[in-house]
This record gives sequence, structure tokens and C-alpha cells, in this order.
Amino acid sequence: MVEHSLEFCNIVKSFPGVNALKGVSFHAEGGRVCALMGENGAGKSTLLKILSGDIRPDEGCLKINGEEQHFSSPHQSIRASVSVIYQERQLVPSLNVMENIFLEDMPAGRLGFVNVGELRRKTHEIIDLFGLPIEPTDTVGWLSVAYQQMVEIMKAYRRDSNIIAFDEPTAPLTDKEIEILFKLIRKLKEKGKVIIYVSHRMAEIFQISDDIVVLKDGSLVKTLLTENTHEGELVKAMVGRDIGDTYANLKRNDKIGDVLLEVNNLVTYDVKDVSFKLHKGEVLGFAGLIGSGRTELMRAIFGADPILSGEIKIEGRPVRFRSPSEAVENGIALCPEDRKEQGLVLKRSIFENVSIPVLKKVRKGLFLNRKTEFDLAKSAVKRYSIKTPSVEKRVMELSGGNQQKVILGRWTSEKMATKILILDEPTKGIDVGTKAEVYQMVCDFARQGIGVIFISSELTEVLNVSDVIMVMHNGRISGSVTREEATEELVLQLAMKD
Amino acid sequence: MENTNRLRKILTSKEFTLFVTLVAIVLLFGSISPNGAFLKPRNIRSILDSMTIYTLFAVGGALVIISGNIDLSPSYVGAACGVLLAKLLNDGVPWYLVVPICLLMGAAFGVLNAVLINEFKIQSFIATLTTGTFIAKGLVYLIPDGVTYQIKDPVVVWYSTGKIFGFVPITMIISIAIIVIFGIVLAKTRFGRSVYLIGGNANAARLAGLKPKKLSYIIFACSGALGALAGMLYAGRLKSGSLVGTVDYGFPAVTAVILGGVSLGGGTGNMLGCFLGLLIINGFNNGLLVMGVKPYWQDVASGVLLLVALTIDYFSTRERKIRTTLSSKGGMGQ
Amino acid sequence: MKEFLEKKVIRNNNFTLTLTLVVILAAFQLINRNYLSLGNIRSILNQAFVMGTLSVGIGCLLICGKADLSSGSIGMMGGLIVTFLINWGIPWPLAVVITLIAGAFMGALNAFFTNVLNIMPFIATLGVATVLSGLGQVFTNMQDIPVNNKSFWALGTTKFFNLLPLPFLITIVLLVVYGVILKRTRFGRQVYMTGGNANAARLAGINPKMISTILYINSGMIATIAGILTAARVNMGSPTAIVSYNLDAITVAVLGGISFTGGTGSMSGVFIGILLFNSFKNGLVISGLDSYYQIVASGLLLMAALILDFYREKSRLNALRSHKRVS
Repeated sequence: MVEHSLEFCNIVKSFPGVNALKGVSFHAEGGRVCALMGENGAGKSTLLKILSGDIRPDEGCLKINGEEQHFSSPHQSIRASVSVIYQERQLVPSLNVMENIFLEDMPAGRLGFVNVGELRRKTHEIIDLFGLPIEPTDTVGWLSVAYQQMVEIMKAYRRDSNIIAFDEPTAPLTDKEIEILFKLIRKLKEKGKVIIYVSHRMAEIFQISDDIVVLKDGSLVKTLLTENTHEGELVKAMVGRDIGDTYANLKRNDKIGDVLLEVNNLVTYDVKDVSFKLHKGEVLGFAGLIGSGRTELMRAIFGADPILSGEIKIEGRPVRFRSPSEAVENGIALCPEDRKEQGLVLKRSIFENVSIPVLKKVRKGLFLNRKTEFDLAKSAVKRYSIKTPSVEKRVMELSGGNQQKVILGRWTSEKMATKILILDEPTKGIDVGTKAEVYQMVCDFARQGIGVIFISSELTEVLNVSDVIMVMHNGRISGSVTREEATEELVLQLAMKD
Repeated sequence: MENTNRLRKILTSKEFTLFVTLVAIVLLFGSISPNGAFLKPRNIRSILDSMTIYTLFAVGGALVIISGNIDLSPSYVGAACGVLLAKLLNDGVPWYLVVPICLLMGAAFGVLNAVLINEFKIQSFIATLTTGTFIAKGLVYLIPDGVTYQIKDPVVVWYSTGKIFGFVPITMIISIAIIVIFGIVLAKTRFGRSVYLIGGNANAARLAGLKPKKLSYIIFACSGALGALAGMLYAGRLKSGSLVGTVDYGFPAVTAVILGGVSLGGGTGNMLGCFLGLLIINGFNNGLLVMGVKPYWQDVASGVLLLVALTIDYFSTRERKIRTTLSSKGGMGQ
Repeated sequence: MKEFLEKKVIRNNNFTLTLTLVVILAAFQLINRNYLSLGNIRSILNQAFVMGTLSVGIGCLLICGKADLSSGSIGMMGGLIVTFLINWGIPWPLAVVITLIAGAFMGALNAFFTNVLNIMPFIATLGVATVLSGLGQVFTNMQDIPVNNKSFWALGTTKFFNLLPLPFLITIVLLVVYGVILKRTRFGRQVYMTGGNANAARLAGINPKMISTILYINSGMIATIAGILTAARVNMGSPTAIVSYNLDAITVAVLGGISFTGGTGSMSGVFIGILLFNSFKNGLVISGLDSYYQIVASGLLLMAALILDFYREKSRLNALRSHKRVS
């Protein structure tokens, strides 16, 4: 049996505003499953993207079987026998199963004619191996999410790559399919393949992996043998950090008032029966893994996505928003998770982005009053220490942290009467120093009597900044804890609970 | 079990719906046209005859749209090539040189379009509209005012107007061959599959190692060459290089393609559907003519049919869209 | 120096445009001494008003991120409608009002297809354009229809100071009014934001569909203004008038700095673009060039404008990247 090996050598990668990987090195042997663990933002996805050739590292390189590799395109990594199965499906919904499995490598004869018979036969073999009730000719777009994921996995199997990486493969799968997947992984191990397995699910990690590599904040903090460790040690490695005075010095709000927002049995396409209460002056944290439904929940409350059933009450009054503008008029504000795509109009200036919701209030007669707008923006710049020489600068030229502050400025300007402020991953891609500023801002909002909903996948921050933490998993609330009783281990367990 | 599944699949397919529509149109016009003129063999032949030029535009159009772009220039390229054909023949250049030259010019236009779209990131509709209406159309004006070059070259005239066995026009054979060949290529070869890939999920195509840019050059070149071919056949048929040429053929061809199930979003559709779409549109227009409706209504009919086709497309893909958005969101990250 | 060039020239569109305009005017004046004569300038402006008027409506839509290929056809129908109304004895001011309402209605059709049925704007407007063109041919049997009203003619032929034709004056008024609306009012700001990023605009409380609906209706009305003025000028309703100016109007808008991706541009740039394009076209004519060259030149100009648009956006991103390395 040929054994392959993969080595990451001192990988460094930065994006504007954040250092994603700060010199990560480790070795993955063939015939073993190497689990890659870490919180969101630890650098796992970036590492996989480098492995697949999607992006290039600033420094460092990969070594496959001892040879240095530099991939400048995904095509090259596939040729080097690497397969990465991403979270975002790489399937073509309008084509069928066999066409997707053999995507780039369909069996063809002369003139490039696809040998459909062979295609179907080979696909059938793979499907039977996996034991799935689907046909090679089923249209992928019509399959359930779980089966789509299996198609993706079968594609990797077909490639027979020597290095296979899985990024959270089991999220849409049921137990039966997970068993199939693990059977496959064991088979691949027998063949001497290198397997990298990224997951948050403790149970699985202990079931399938041989080695564990823990990343934190872009650095490698621990390599362990699975059989020699236990959950507690892993969680501690993932989250334990010297937070110093960051949270101790926060000036919090201790005057929590009446119920401001009440959500009862809310059901949407992604959320299944969620209920919670938000009080005036409270920081309500929402913890959970990516995909747990927190963003979708808030978007529905904000009127951006449709609601199927359930009730929302603001200050006792039942409301139903059919569009974000209605929500804004009722005092709700949302800072979206993807600030570039959904939060800001990048090619426009700071002051223009700040005044969007209050355009009616910066008018003098029929026209917009430039001075009022400028003053509004300038006070936001001052209040949040936004680093910019002028409020006319285009937002795209600011760093991530400053961009986030512009959005905050929009919702908390003097002309806004925000009662409920929803922050979705407000510190994503922001450096440590600015993060601390953001935490204090959150507490300041609470002190003003605003109800703050704070969504974050970074356990440390959501635990230490919130007064109460709701934990979501798979579209439901799996538990809630107060700050006093919360521990990172407890919250992580709730977030991964089935 | 397998067989009933297959039968159900056929009955619920888009192509079947189109076929039913076609039958409905035939029955409708067959019954209300005076003396059943619609169904007379001469009329049927005239429908098929008029379809030949549309077919060439439709094949090129379908190829481009399935790959995720759109090409609005072929009808103008065709007009330009028709004029070029006539002029060159008139200048004494032998047909076996002129024909490849014109085809190459069409392909070159396609490459120009692809350059604008790939390198300068101009949206495909405005890029091709620009090259088409301005450049190609402008070339038509190469002829000094008032001169219409007659085409007298016997070979050109033969294949443009000749018939095999006395009643099958050669142009029809050419167009059927083209749609069959491209249909097979699309459905059965690796190249064809990659066209669907790029249109269906360009990112997936890229990550799978395909080269969307390179493929788009080939696709647009085909579309341009097919347009040139159509223009040459048209000019040959009229025996002259006309200024208007095939300009008006582009839009109905695109309508037929969309009617035939090729979604503007890319990644879906096939040549059979396009063929049925072409039959429906040509049959419909011809039916109107036989009924004595003024020919100007054809444009209106085209536009209305397109909007209807798009509306149906919207409703039928809406359900599918919900499914796939749920799929891509469910459990996975945003 | 390179930074200066980049900042002031490539990115400051109006400066480049005005410079180019001056160069063109100077060049053609050298070729033909009658170029800058009163008569010729009047001729340029008379040519310019159609695409100029259309470009106001189309320009707003482009800033909002939506394409419009139907304005030309709507304008043509407007000309026909006003012609028919006047010929039926309706006093021309009333006929004009009714035609404007018809234009609004036609614009609403576009809005329906793009916002309710979610059809891509370019194909939806193309469909509407085809239907309207066809209807125009049907209603007129492909003939031009004369207008039986002398006073209506004045609309198209009045000149101020023997130089500025009324139609072009109306174009200028439209440019100014919409320029002000775009830059200084709440609605205008919402147009820019929607065009810049419709998703973000929606999450900030703007209703993008409402904005584009208003703009389509608005564009329809503006297009009929062009149609009415043309009918007045040539005293005829024609089924082929104006339609071909749609693409010219887009050219002029993109030349004037309106990005095809939306969210940027201004009416002042469009104004210079109008002057540039038409003086260029006119210059070609009076220097005796073939009509072939004119059409090709127009096309090359649009291509150049689109390519320049690409480089403009690219240079902004590059500036961004050099900033980033420092932080």
C-alpha cells in the first residue's frame, strides 16, 4: 500500500484587515484521518482553500509526498490528486447525478462523445457501494440537501484523490448517511489516502479521527492523538485564551427593563419554532455554529425574509413586517453578517451610507441638507473613532473594522430612534483592538436602554459581552444560559447538541 | 417499474408540453384557416423553409445562453456577411474562398464579443448589442448607396436555392444537419457537458478545473460563424446582398430558444426544445399569415410570445428555485 | 505624476470629457470652417435632442442598476399617439398630456415585467420594445402620418436667439431638473444607493422595487416627450422614428460617467457626453465621411465608453489595494 503524505509548511495568509493564518505548519500522514478543529475564524477554511488551489498563500507552501507544490488554480490541485469537499456545494443543479459525479472527467470515446452507458454503469457502481436510493439519472437540483451532499462526496470518491479534505460534511446528513460516509472514510484510509476532516462535532471527531490539529486565531495551538485526549481538553485548546482585561473592564448595563421584543413559535424556511424574549437595556447573545439559523431568524424578524407562522411582539404590540423599511420605522435595526454584500453601498461615501434610513430627517424643504448629513456622519466618525480623513471618502476604501463602524453609525445616529439593535457577527474580520471598542459600544447601547441582540460564532466574545445567551442549533434554540452560569464548554456543547 | 417511471418523466417534461402546444396550434389553425389552407403540404413546406434561417440563429443562440451569456449580434453579423458574400463574388473571388472568409469573419466577431465580455468585463447583452448593431450593421454600409450586388455564382445559387430529389431544399438539409450535430454535441460530448456546467454553476466549473473563459471564446465563435452562415444562405436565396438581410431574424430566434426551455439563467435546455420552439413560432406566424392578418402583427406576436415564454419560465422555475435555495442554505454556512 | 493622472484624468470623468470635447471641436473646425457656424451648431443641437432626452430617463435607470432598451420604441409610440390624437381634433396641449400618460403606462409595463415577474431588465424591455415597434407598424401600415396642426409645429421649430432650438432647451431643462433630483433629493439618493447595492439598500430601509418602478414609469414619460417633440419638428408621426436612438442614449450616458454596474454618474456628465457624441457625429458628416464610418464610429465610441468604464472601476480597486498594504 502506497502511503501518501501532506505537509503544510509555515503557511501565512492575510486579507485586508485580518491575519487569517500566521504561520501554520503540520504534517498529515496517509492512512490516517487528521481532524482540523477550531472556532470560526480560526483559519480552517482558509487553509482548505489554499489546499484546493482556490487561493494562494502569502508565504509558505504545501508539500505532497515530500515535493513542494504551488497551486495557482483549482485545476492544478485536482491534477495533484487533491480533492476538497466544501461547505458550499459545487454541483450543477440542472444536470443529473452521474454528470455531476464525473463533472470534469466523463468517460468519453472518440471525438469526445460521452460514453453514457459507461457513465451510468460506473455511477451505479459508486451509488451501490454507498448504498443510496438514488439513480444516476436523477436531477441533482431536485435531490434533498443530504443526497446532494452525498453526490458531492461520491464525486470525491470517484476522483480517487490521494488527499481528500472534508469541510463540515455531515451537517445536512442523517445518521444513516453519516454511517455511509464513515464507512467510505475507513475504506479510503485502507488505501493509504490522506484525509483531512474539519468538523465541530465532537462525537464524530472521536469516532473517525486519528489525529487532531487545533487552530486558534490563525495559529496552530495543539496537535493531539485522538485516543490520548478528551473533549474537555479539546474545547479548552480551542477557546481558552488570555482575555486579559478586555472583558473585565467593560462598563456594563445593570438596569434591565421590561420586555421589549417577544418572539413566539416563529417558523420560517430555515427556522423551526423559535421563541425568546429581549428586554430593554439587555444584551442578548445568540451563540451557535455557522448555519444554525441565527442570521435567518433575525432577517425574518427584520422583515427581510418571509415568515411562515408565529408571532412577534414589540412592547406588547403584535407586529409583522413585510419589508425592512417597516421594521426600521418601528425602531429595529440590523447590521448584517456580510457587511460588504449586504450592509454597505461600497462605492458610495461614508455620509451617504450613514444617512440612508434617515433621509427624511436630513432635509431642508425639498432638498437634502448637506450640512446636516455631514454633521451626522462626522459625529458618528467621532463617536466610533472611525479612521478617515473625511466623511466623503468612499466606504470601500476603509478597513473592515471601520466599515463596521459606519454601519453602526448608521443605526445609532442622532436622527435614529433605534430601540432594538441586531448585530450579526459584528466583529468578523476585525482586529483585536477594534473588537474591544465594539464590545464597549455594545454595552453602551444597552446602557442607553436599547435592546441589543448580539450574534457571534466566537464563543469567548458572545459569552463575555452578553447578559443572556441563547444557543441555536439546526434552526432551533437548544438552550439558554445567563452570563454568570455560562462556560464555554457548556455553550459549545449546546451548540453541537443534536 | 422502470418503464412507468420513464413514461412519467417524458410526460412531465418541458418538451412534451411544447409538443402539445404545437399540436394545439396546428389543430387551431388547421380548423379555422380558409379551406384548411394551413395544413396544405405547400404551406407546411413553406413553414419549414422559413425555419431554416431561424434554426441557424437559434442553435448559436441556445449555445451561448446555456453557457450563461447572451448574444444579440448574430443577426447583424449575418446581414453583414450576406453583403460581403455578394460583394466578393462580384469582385471575382471564387466561391470556395469567399465562403470560408465569411465564416471566419463571423467567428472573428464572436471572438471580439468574447474579448469584450471576458477581458473588459462588459455585460454580454450590451457588448453583443454594441458589436452587432453598430459594427456589423455599419459594415453593411460598405456598399455605396443604391448598389445591390447580385449573386450569380452558380455554386452559391445552387446550394442556397437548390433542392434534392426535387423537393427537399438544400438549405433545409444544412439547417437540420446543424441542429442535429449541435444537439448531439451538447447532449453527448464532454464539450457539451462543460457548456452546461459553466452556465449552471460557473464557480463549480472553475473549481473542477474547467476554463470558462476559453470555452466562451469557442462558443461565441460558433455563434458568430452560424450567424454568418445564415446570412450567406439568406443572401444566396435572394440572389443579392441586401442591406436589411437577416437583421429581423435574430429576435424571433431567441424567443424560440427561450420558449424551447433554455433558461436565461443558463445551464438548462436542449436542442429538441429549441426545435419545437422554432416550429411553434414559425407555425404561429404562418398561421396568422394564412388567416390574412397583416404581416406587421408578426413583430407584435414575437414580442408577446417572448414575454409569455418568460412568464411561464418564471412560474415553472419559481418552485425549483425554492428547492435549490433551501438546499444550498440548509445546514451549511451563509 | 502617475497618481495625478489617475486621480484627475481617468477617474475625474467630467474633466476628461470636456477636454475631449474641446479637442473634437477644435479638430473639426480646422477641417471645415463652417463647423462652428450658427447654422451648424443649430443642426447639431437639433440632432442631439432626441438621444439627449432619452438619456435622461435611461440614465436614471442605469444609475439605479437597470437596463432599458425600450425607451426608443416608447418614444416612437408617443409620437404616433400624439399624432393620432391631434388628427382626431383634440387640441394639442391636451393631446400632449394624454400622450404623457400613455408613456407612463408603457413604462409601467416595463416595471411590471422586471419587478413583478422578475424578468431580467434587458430582455423584458427588449420584449416590450418589440411589441411596441410592431404595434407602431400595425397602426400606421408602415407609413408616416402627417400632423394637421400648424401651431403644434412650433413646438419643434421655435428657436431662441436663432441658436437654441426649443426641443434641445427642453432636453437641458430635463437634465437640470433630474440632475438636481438625483443629487439633492431623498429620492435621488435612494436611486444611487439602490444602484450601488440593492441588497444593502433594502436592508437599510429602501424599497428597491418601488424605486425602479418609479424610474421606469418616469423614463416612459420622458421618452414620449422625445416622441412628441420629434413629431412636432417634422410634423409627422412615424413608426420608425426614435427607436434607433435608444442605443445612442445609452452610449451617451455611459460616456458621461454612468457606470453600467450602477450607483455612479451624474447628469452633468451626460450633458457633456451628449455634446461630445453629437459634435463628433456631425463632424464626421461634414468632413464628408461615408455613412458607414458614422455608424461604426458610434459603435466604437460606445465600446470605448464601456471599456473606459471598466478601467475606471479597476483603477478605483487598485487604489484601494495600495491603501490596504499600508494598513
